Amino acid sequence: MSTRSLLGALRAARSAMVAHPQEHPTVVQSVLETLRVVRGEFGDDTDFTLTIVGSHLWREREPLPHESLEFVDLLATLRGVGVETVTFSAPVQVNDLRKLVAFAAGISPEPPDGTSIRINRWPHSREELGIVEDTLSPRVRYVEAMDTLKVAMLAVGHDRPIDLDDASRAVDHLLEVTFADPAAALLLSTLKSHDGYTLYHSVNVTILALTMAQAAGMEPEAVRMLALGALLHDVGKAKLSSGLLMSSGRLDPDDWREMQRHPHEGARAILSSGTSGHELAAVIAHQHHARFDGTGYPELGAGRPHPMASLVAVADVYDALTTRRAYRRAESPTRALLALVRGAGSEFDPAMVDLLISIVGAYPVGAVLELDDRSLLVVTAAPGGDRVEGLLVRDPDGERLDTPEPLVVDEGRVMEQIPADIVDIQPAEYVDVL
Amino acid sequence: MVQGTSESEAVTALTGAWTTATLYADAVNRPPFVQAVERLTEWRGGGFDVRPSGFFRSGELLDGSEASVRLAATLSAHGVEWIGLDDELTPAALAAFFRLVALSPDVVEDEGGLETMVGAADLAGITVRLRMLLGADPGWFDLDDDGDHDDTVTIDASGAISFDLVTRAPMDADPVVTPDEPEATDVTPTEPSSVDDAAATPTAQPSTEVPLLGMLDAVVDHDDPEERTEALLELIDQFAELDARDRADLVARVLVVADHDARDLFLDQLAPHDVAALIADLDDDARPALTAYVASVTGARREELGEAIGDPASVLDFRTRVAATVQERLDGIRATPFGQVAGLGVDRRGWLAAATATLAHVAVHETHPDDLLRLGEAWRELVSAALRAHDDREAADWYRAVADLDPLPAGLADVVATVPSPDEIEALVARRADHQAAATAFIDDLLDRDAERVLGVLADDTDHVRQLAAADPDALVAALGQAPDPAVIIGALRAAGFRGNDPRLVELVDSDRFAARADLLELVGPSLGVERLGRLLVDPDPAVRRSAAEWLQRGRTPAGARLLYERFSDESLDDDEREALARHLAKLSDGIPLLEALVNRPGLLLSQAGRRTRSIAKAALDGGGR
Repeated sequence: MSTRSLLGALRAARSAMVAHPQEHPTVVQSVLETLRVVRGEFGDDTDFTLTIVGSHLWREREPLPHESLEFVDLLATLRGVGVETVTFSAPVQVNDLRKLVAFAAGISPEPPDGTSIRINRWPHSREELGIVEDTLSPRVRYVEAMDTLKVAMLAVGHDRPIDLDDASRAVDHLLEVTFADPAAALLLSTLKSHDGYTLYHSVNVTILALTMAQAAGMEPEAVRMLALGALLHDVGKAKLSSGLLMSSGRLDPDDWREMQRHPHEGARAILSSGTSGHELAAVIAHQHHARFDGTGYPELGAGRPHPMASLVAVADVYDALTTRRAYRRAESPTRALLALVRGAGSEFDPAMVDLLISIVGAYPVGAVLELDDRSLLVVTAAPGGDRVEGLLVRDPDGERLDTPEPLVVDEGRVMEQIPADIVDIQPAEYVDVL
Repeated sequence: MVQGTSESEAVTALTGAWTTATLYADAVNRPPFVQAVERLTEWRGGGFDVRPSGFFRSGELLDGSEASVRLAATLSAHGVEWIGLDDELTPAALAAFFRLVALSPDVVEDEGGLETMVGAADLAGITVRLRMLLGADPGWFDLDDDGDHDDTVTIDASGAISFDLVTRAPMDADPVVTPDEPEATDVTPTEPSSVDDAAATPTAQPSTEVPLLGMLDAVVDHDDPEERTEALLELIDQFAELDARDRADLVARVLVVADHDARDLFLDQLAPHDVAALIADLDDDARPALTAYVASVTGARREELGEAIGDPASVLDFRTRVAATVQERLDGIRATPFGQVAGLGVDRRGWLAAATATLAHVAVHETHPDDLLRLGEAWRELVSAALRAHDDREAADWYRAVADLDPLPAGLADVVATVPSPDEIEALVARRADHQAAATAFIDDLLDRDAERVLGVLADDTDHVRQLAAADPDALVAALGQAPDPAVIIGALRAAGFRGNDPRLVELVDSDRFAARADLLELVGPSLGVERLGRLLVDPDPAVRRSAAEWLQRGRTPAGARLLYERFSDESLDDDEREALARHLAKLSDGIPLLEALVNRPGLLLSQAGRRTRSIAKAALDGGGR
């Protein structure tokens, strides 16, 4: 949100400076607005750096998902004048900001040279950002998959074909990082966001599906088909109104009927986008809300959903239940598993529920556990016996630990599992500590 | 709403007019500007309070868009604290007013201030009132960075802009409360609100009740779904930070005092175990309302709520009930390893039934004619792809998925006629077998790959003979450079499905003396690579350029998109070629953002060439590259 505001303000200021003399009120106000955003959103206490590599953007060491597409023109402009990093040091001075905008607008050949804005300092190495010899870290691959899905949803929303080759590439990259380090990928799959829910959710479901496929010993080609279906399973939502998707109240029967069209829309969009080879993705999109007993939508009658659709359905519900939505709060991971166990045999394929449980166990990777001394532990390892392995992130007084402490505890010390957002913890941020 | 135009709409209209005026010298002739003035004249509200942070009425922020805040800040810089508009407003007067506003505050002040200048210009329908202590900040761009003048402009952590009261005149001393900044509560994450003994009963008011109930009402009243969601999330955040007793008190109050919409909206956020944890504390007033709520929910949630309320311990005890249940299941799985999960193999035959059923289901339930047509085209391609892969059984399965539908969707009847039927597929299979045998014999006979003989065969009048010749691509490639009519051999190679990366062909593509470069490029484009294709975008032969662009698009690479975009950006090209390039870009995931960014670039509107560029890009995007 805040970085988006900053980029939006910078873009507006650059546009104003291109179109008007520097003394024009529009320019003045747009630069002031940018200053307001910089100081207002980022405060006076911290420095931060934006790094641009290709079409990717980082704020400090955090890759940013949407900005790289929405502000592609601004990023291209900055790259075009040789800017790779911009470091803001509080308090940002208005003249430094004006020079940065003028430089980006091509009006001044001189880059900002003040103390509050500096360029190309690279405070974080390429390795720290996850750029290692042309390969990118799991975190960047995660963001890349979201960007790809966003383009696919834009295409569906505008009745254009999905670029299934792009989607397949993103899936291959996710497959590589998930198979290389399943625990890190599962930790990453706890990333949640209300803003852009479908994008985060779909990538999380893909990671879950990939780990399930790996556990089931699926062949690589089958895994790719499954993962493409998982990534695109909700792509039909692009055809629904944003009001319906963002609704925080109960859906009336008409809205509900409309909502139930998204598997149909997704399947049609996938079928209409490609030739042979991607049909299974359409099956998964079409049947991911079909229940194991043949009810749900679409109704399959006596037939059962395809096993891959059943697998994605389980991953879909698990991730959805553990995410806070506009219409309900998040469940803890284990309570979500309990809901799946209860639905096994009727709503869900029992084999697929077992498959998921075998991966995540009673204390899933990324779960936040309250221990008997009220300290908080983020689980970082797959299930193993009666001991839980994780990182201690809050002390008994609730204070955040600057350096998370690796810890293995007896299961008996676990008192409760807490939805991460309630205690304002983002388990995925600890992926770099693993 | 007043007379058809609301206060927010009036601000939006004023802001829109201002934006138009900053873009166009002849704004008075622009429909958006004229329409904005018409909407303003329909408004009977009188005027707005102007503050640097936006336009207000009765302390409430109107239209918080960036543009309106910028306009308000610009007016504030002139010392304006109130602007009045009435039905005498004309486009000319508003344009003249904006020209005054665009002047430097120094200049305006020298002329006696904006109020005086507006009066002197006799601008119909516009009145401004200035603050008592006018002090527009002059020369802010001249501020140095050493702090000498920093005290004249302050932007605090919340982003509010204010001016020093001593060295400069005050701009806006009053605190501004916006809908996004609810009145402060005493609820913080580390300092939960306390409830005294008297307030401990559920119907008493806890310290947080009024703000949170007010927020709940505000959530329900939001018309915009996104704003409603944001407000709801804010409410949940604050609720989650309350301690258990305050939560119970608040729920009790919600049940008693909130209307049904608000009640349902709020309680839907609570997990069943949260409701179970609260239920014990409810009094006789609140409990029936909760019962009514439970009765109003449906499906699994109703079941879970009933279970939770009936036996709170069933969901409250995490370690012995929740984790233990999952652990038990996990132990069972370990005891009986499931190994390979049935049905997850890649065998195409295994999932073909599901795929064809999906196609049939979608075809039957598709309601939009265009979507149905696209689906029909996809169906035809699926049948064709199976035929190309020599999987005739699969082709027949795909065919039946749609052609056997009864009734057949009306929009698909025409498409069905264009798809080979199973009978035709069977006949094709037979022919293919004959051809295969004959082609094998022919290749055997061509052991020396004699180019002259290949050319002779290709000139044969009989289709069948020519098809046989096409079975030996290597001989065809060798003969290509000597062929009097290279298009014939290229056609034969194409018919043979030849897509090889042969350096002899690449050499011919680069040769000025080869007459059929464009034809050849259509055949071997993918093997040339992005860089070489990019160079061909500036080839003197338009057909070569077209083909190179086509392959760059079909390659779907970011580098290809960039090359197409660079070529498209050349304003010296004729419109036809640029339109074609834009259509290619509009089909690419890496090209769409480039075009969209271009379309949204305001600077383009400043020149005729730029407007033309924008128009081409927009048309390509709107048409989806078609």
